[in-house]
Amino acid sequence: MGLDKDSRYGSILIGVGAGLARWIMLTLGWTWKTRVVAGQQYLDALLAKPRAVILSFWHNRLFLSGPFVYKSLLGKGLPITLLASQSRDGELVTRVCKRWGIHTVRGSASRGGLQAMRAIHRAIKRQQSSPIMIPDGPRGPLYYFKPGVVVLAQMSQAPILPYGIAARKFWSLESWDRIVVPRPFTDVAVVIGEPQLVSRELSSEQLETERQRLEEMLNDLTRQAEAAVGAADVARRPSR
Amino acid sequence: MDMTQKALNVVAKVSGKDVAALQPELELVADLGIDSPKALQLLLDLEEELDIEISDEDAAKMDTVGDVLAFLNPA
Repeated sequence: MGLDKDSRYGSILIGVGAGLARWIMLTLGWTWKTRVVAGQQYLDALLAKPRAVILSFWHNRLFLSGPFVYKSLLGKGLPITLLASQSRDGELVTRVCKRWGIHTVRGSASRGGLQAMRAIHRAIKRQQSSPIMIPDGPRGPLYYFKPGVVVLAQMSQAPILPYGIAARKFWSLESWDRIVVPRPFTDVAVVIGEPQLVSRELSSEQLETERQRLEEMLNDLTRQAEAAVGAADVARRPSR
Repeated sequence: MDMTQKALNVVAKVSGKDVAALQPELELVADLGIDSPKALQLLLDLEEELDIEISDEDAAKMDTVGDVLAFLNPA
């Protein structure tokens, strides 16, 4: 009984937290001056002829990306799927997404996430839903583009749509990746990269080369977004 | 080409091993280096090449090459 009560209270707390997080994200997001500084044509092409793409950005941009995805993609009719971890954080993210009409799949791309990855593959193939795949989520390593995302792109033949996003003024939380929470009324820049199709014919070695290339591309896009608003990297990005 | 041979070809392609080296007792993870991303590739390739559907429950039971073949040829 005690456990039931605890779990009920836990569920209520997560529900309240999810409502609050959504409200904060939308309210804050509404005050941000967000502009796409490069790559608008890729967004326009996608919305003109909707198809499933794999949306990719670094994990510490998750809060920052929420309103952008909501306004620029979901709000314009693109179905979205999100892979959320099985932790309490993941439950919170799932509840927020549910309120926004984003389909969620629970699991991790890295640890025992085969079932979740297959569910995402099905969402791409059967529902033409675009998954948000955060390549260094849910717990890093920081700015490491995990191979699972590359394999998903290869097997589904859905192109990866990478984008960098940055805020001029922000708080950073004490999380492993110093997640960015932009301050109200700040400038937010988005740099969208060219959609990247991963060939079905790549060998394991070629897949690793592709993984490294995508990692560097996402770092470049994020650097460009940071430069556009004059912001420094919130975490120390490894130099290559 | 029968189902078993097609399945072995898929396992060989994903693991990078020679078909002739694929013994039933070999473990997909420990012996053939099939980690999570490769397991995704293996399951999706098996479904596509053999025109079958593998449930999550059946996928979870596939630890060895023999398990994959047993799924295709149940006793």
